[in-house]
Amino acid sequence: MDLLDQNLWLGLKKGNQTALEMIFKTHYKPLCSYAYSFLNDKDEAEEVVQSSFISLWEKRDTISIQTSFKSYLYRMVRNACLNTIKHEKVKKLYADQEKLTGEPIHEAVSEGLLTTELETRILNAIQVLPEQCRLVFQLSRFEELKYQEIADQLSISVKTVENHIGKALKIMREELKDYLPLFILFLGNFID
Amino acid sequence: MAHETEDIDNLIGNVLAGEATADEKESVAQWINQSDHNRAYFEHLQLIFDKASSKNIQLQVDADAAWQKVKIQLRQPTPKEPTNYWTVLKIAAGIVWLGFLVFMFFQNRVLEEQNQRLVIKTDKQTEQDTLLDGSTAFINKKSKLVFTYDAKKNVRKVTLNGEAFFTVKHDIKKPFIIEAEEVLIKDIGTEFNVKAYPEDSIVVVNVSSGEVQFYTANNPGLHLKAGEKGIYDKALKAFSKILKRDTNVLAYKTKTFTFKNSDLESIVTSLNDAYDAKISIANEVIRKCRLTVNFNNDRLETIVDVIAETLHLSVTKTGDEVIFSGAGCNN
Repeated sequence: MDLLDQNLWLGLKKGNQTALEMIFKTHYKPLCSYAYSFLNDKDEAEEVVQSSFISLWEKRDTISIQTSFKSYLYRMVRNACLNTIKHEKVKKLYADQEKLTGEPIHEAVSEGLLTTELETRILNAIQVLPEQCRLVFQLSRFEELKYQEIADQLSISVKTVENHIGKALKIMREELKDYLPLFILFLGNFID
Repeated sequence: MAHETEDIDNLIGNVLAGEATADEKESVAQWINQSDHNRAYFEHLQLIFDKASSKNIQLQVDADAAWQKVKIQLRQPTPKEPTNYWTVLKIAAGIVWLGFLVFMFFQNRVLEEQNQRLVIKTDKQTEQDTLLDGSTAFINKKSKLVFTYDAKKNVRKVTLNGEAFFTVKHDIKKPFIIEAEEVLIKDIGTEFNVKAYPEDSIVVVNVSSGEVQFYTANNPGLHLKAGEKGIYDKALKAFSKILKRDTNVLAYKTKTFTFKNSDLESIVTSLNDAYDAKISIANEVIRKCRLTVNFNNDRLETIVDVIAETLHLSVTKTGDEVIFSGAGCNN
């Protein structure tokens, strides 16, 4: 944990709302993107991140951080997302009820939410990945965890992590195949 | 070939994730150089890998607006659910009430009255105690305080023999009355001191805050306000009011003395009272020596030394007796 993070964390533990605000404003956007990669719904993603911060505030006394502050935030949001997905069935039921009562149903619209089309397509490609493969890929790319850390957290071997990452890349390339060559023309110099 | 492709995906993954060994890096480099197709493939994976990160995928959200939403939902320090807390309280109150009913059922009146009685007796020590009604009393040495609550008349009554400082929980429906010697003090406010030792010729009441009525059965007496002092002369059966605040009234409680141009004689009296000390003055000429000094919870020895030093007096100590002597003062 660097010094600023450590100070913010100590401030948060002491019940300093400004510390929470600073943490919130630094990490809100990337955390929302991360949540979006799970939920594929902007409002839901924001809701999950917001309520994660509220529970972080409420549990600040009991929380102790072993690794880094940032990875704690990402793990917190990831778990909240996985819980949300778990309850998707319940949500669907609720949505059906809404339909019956004539309430408008919110349709997830990806377009316009992200800065570039490539980002949108990459996020859509992540949705296509098999569940475990997708989770491993997200832990690696969004939480920036090492293979060993992913293996530890998911109780799988490092070799399995390796396979999932390789598989994820392969599937996503397949998904983006028709789109990518164009991009290489633009970014060719940049990559080398 | 299919097998090889799967392997190469893993190897490229390792390279991109920074998890590759030197050998793996080498074989990926070789594979890339084999063909343009391989190079393009690697570049595709690299692009996907780089772009699919929290740095590069930025959802268009408004963090400021979101914070405003979160902020209003933050509960300040109380982490417990108030509803749960209330439930616990309600249950606790229910149990207490049930216990009380059972108690009332089985106890006769005599026992009940005894239970409403509190006796505090001090000898060589002062004592601070909370009375049954939640009021507090700081009781000076050699004093006796009996607190009773008459449920029928709804009166809180204290019988005082000696000196005590009261902080009364005011309740207009349950008057707080102190009986000291033959006088009565009825609280109309909160804090006051009562000095009523049987051997003294007077009873003194000092009001720190609020108001009290200082009276006897036949005499309506005095209405004392904060800062006022009332004296009752037992022999004359007369009340008098002194408006000047006596700064050292509570010295027995606080051990804080403020002497302002005070003569040695009264200083010694105050100290003897508060510390239960035996300080005496050997020479008549020094009795009227005057001194301005503050002591704040100091040890008696320190105070004696300071006085002697300031007034150029000698101190003789024999056992617990302290004697000041000297040839007189300039002032």
